[in-house]
Amino acid sequence: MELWNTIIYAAILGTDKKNISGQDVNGVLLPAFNVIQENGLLDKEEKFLQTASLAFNYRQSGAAALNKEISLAPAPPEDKKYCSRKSMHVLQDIVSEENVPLLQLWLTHCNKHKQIVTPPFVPLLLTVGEQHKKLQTLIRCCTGNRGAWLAVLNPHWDFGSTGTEEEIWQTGTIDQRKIALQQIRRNDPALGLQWLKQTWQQEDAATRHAFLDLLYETINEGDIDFLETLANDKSKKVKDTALSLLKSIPGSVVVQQYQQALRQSVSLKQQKKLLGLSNTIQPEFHLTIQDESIYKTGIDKLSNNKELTDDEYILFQLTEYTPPVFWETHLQAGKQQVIEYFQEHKTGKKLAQALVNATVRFKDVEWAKTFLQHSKVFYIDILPLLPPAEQEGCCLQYMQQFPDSILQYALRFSDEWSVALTKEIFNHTAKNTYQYNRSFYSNIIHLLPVQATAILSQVSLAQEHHQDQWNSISAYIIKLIQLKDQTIQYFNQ
Amino acid sequence: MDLTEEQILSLAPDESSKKTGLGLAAPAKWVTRSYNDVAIWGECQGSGSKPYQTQIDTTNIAFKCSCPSRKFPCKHGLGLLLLYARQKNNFTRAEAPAWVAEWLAKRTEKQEKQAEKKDKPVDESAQAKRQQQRQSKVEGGITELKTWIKDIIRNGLTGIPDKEHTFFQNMTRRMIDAQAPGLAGMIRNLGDTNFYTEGWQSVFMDQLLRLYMVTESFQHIQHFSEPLQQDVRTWIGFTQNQEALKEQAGIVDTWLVLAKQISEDDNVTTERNWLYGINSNNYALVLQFTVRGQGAQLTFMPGMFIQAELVFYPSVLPMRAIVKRQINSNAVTGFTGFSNWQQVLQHETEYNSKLPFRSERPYIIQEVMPVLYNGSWWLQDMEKNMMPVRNEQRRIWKLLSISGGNAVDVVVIGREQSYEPVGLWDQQEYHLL
Repeated sequence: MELWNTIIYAAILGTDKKNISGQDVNGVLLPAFNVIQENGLLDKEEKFLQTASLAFNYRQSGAAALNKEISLAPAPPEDKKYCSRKSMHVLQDIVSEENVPLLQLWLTHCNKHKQIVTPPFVPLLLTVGEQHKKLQTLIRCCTGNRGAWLAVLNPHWDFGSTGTEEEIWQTGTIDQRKIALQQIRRNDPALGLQWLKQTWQQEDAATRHAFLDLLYETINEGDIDFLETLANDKSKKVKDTALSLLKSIPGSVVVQQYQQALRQSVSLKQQKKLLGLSNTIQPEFHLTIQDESIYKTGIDKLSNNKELTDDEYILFQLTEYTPPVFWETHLQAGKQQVIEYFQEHKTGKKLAQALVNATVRFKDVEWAKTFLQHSKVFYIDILPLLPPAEQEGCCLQYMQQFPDSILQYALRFSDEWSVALTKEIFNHTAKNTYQYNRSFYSNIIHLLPVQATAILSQVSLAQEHHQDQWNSISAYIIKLIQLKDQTIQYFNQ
Repeated sequence: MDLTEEQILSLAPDESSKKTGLGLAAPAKWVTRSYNDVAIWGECQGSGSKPYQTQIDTTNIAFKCSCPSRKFPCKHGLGLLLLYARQKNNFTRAEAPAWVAEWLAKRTEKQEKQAEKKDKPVDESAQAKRQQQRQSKVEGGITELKTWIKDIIRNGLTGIPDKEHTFFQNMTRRMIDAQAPGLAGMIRNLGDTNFYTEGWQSVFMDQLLRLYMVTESFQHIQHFSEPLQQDVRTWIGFTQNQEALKEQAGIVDTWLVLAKQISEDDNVTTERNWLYGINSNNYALVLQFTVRGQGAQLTFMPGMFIQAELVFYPSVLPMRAIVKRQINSNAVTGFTGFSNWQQVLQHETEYNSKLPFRSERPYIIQEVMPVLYNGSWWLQDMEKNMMPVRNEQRRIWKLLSISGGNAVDVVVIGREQSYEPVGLWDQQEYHLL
C-alpha cells in the first residue's frame, strides 16, 4: 500500500522533516484526511498520528490473500506398515530420555521389521538425525516415503542418497560413502579397492585420508600395488597412512625389509649352564642394520622409552611390524617356545609387548590363543582376536584382577554382555557411582541384557552411602532396560 | 474420556515433568490402578515408605496426589493419566475408595459453595471514590504518554534502536504508577521490537498506533457504546469483576480446545486457552494465571471437547471468556470452519471496523494445503488463495508431515496477513502443531 509506505518513510524521518500531504492520500481516505487536517486543535504530530491510524486500519481491513496457481506435489503413499501404537509410545519415551543407544536399538528393530513411524514423529526423528550422523541411514529407512519427501523440502534432512551400495558410493555424502566402502570391503575387498581407485583422483586430501583409514580392517596382499603408488601422494597424512597400511601386510616390501633386518639381528645361541654340565638355548639380540633405507620407513633411531636402549627400541619397532609367524620359521620353534624365548631373556622380555602388538596388527588368532594359554603376562590387547565366547570367558577370568581395563575393553563389545559378565561389571561399577553414573549406563544400555534387572539387587556394597546411590542408579537402569525390553517385545508381537 | 498422549503431555508444567511422567506410565510402577465413571486413581510406590495416592477427576480434569511435589500436575498425575490413555485394560473398574470419594465430594461441595457465594456488601461511596481516583491517575498517565508518543513521531524512528532500555522502561513504570497496566504492557512490547529484522519500522508503527488509538479512545470514551467502553477500559488495564460476570447467563456449548499458549513472566504463568463452540460457532479465549507451584483451576488439553457454560467479557467483539461451569468432558467430533481465506478476511474487515486495535484471534480454516512460494511457506485454500505462514520453522514441518502436502483442516491464530498454524485434523484426529 503506497500510503502506508509514505507514512513509514515520514515516521522514520520525523514530523519535523516530513509530513503527509493531500497528494499522498487519495481516493476514499481523502475526506477523512481533510477532516483531520482542518482540525485546528491538533498539532502536526497528532495530525500525523491520526492520519497514520486511519491508514493503519484501512490497510489491515483491506488485507487480501495472494492468488497463485502453484501447488506442491503431495507425498507418495507409504509402502511399509506403520509401527504399532505401543511401539510408538516406547519411541516417545526413548526420545524424551534422549538416549541415543536405545533410539538406535528401536530404529534397528523398526527397520528390521520393515515398519515406519507415524507422520507426526517424522520431523522429530529427522531433526535427531541432523545431530547424530550414525543414525541417519536408519532414520531414513524408518521415516519412509514421508521422510524422503520432507528431505527434498528441507536440505538439512537430506541425509544423502538411498539405493545400492555402488549408487551410494557414487552419489552419497562422505559419511555414507565411508559406510558403503567399509561394507563392500568386508564382502569383496577387491571390488572395494577398485571403487576407490576409480574415484581416487577426484577426492580431496582429507577424503582420501578418511577412505584410506578404513582399509585397516580388511587390508590384504591385493592392496599392496595401490598402496605403493601412494608413496608420492601430495598429502603427508595420506603417505603416512599408506605406509602404515603396508606395514600391516606380510608380503609388502617394507615388512620384508624388517624381517631381513630381524634375521640379521636375532639368533639362537647355545649357552652352558651348571658349570658346563647342561646346555640351554637362548636368543641373542644384536641390532645389525645393513640396509639404512629402513630408517626412511618411519623407524626411529632414538628411543622415546627410558626402559629401552636405542638399539632395543629399533628392534622393538621392527618386531611390531613383523608377522609373529616369522619367528617360528626364523627360530625353528613353536609359538609357545618363541614366547618363552622372549619372556625369559633380559632383552626379549622388553620386546614381548612388540610381539603382542604384531599379533594384533597381523590379526593372528593362533598366536593370540597361544599368548592367552602360555604367556606369564596377560595382554588385554589380544582379546579382540579371540572368538566372542572366549573373549567373554577371558573378561570374566581377569575381571577381579584388572577390573578397569577389562571394563574398558568390554565397552567395545558389539553384542550384549552375558548375565555373568554384567554381574561382575555391576559389582565393580556400583562401588564407583561418581565415575559410573547414570550417564555411563545410559550410554551402555545396548550392552546390558534384559535379564540384568534381576541381578541389580544382588549387588552388595560394604558402605551404606554407596548402597543409596546404587539404589537410585539401579532404578534408572531398570527404566532403561524396560524400554529396551518393550522395544524388542512390541516389535515381535 | 479419550485423550491422546500429546494432549496429556501438554498439561506438564515443564520438560522434566514430561520426562518423569512418561517414566511413570508403566503398570509396574503402580501398586493399584482403578477407575470409575468420574475418576481414575492409583497408588505409586515412590521413595517414601507408603505408596503415593494419585487421583484424577475425569469429569473436569483435575489432579490430586499425596506426594510432596510442588509441581502441578505432579509426575504421578501425568504418569497415571498417560498409562490410562495407553493401557486402559490394565485398570480395574471399582468403587472409589474413601480417599478418592472424599476428594471428589469436597470438589463438588466447593463448586456448590462458590456458586452460592454472595458478594460482600459493597461500600458504594468508597468504591466510587476509588474509581474516581483511578480515573484521574489514568488520565494523568495518558497525558504524559501522548507527549512521549508525539516526541517519538517528531524526532523520527531512526534513533529508536539506539535508545537505552530505560527509554521504554521508564514509561512502562509510569503507566504502572498511573494504574494502567494494559498500557504498560503495550509499551513493554514496543520496547521488545526486534530492531534487527528488516521492516521493523512497520511493526513498531503498528504497535505505536495501537497504543495511540487506545489512549485517544480513552479520552473520548463517553461517546462510545457500553461494550466498546469496556474494550477500551480492558486495553487500559481495568479489570472486570469475575464474580459479577458469573452472575450473567453464558453460552452453553461443546467447546473444542484449539490451542493452549503458555508464557511465564515474574513467576506468573499465563495460559491462553483458545476454544471453539461447535454449536454456537463462537471462538473464545480463556485466560488462566497461576503463580509457580500453585495448582491451576482449569485443565484444558488441546484437542479435547468440553461441555461448559462460558460467559464472555463485554466487548464489541466478545472473545475473552470465563468458564462459569464445566459440565463434563465427553469427546465428540464435528465442527464447521471457514471454507476459504476470503471468508476469514471478510470477518477480519468486519472486526477491524468495530475495534481497530484488537488482538489476534483463531480461525478454523478448512481444506488448506501447504505450498512453497518465493522460499516461504504459505497455506493455500481450494480457490488458490494463500496466506504466508508465520513462525514457519516452528510449526510447518509437523504440518507438512501430517498432511503429506494434502488439504487439511487447520487452526490458525493471527490477524491481517499473518497467521500461525497451531493445530490440524487428520483422519478425525486433532494434532497439536
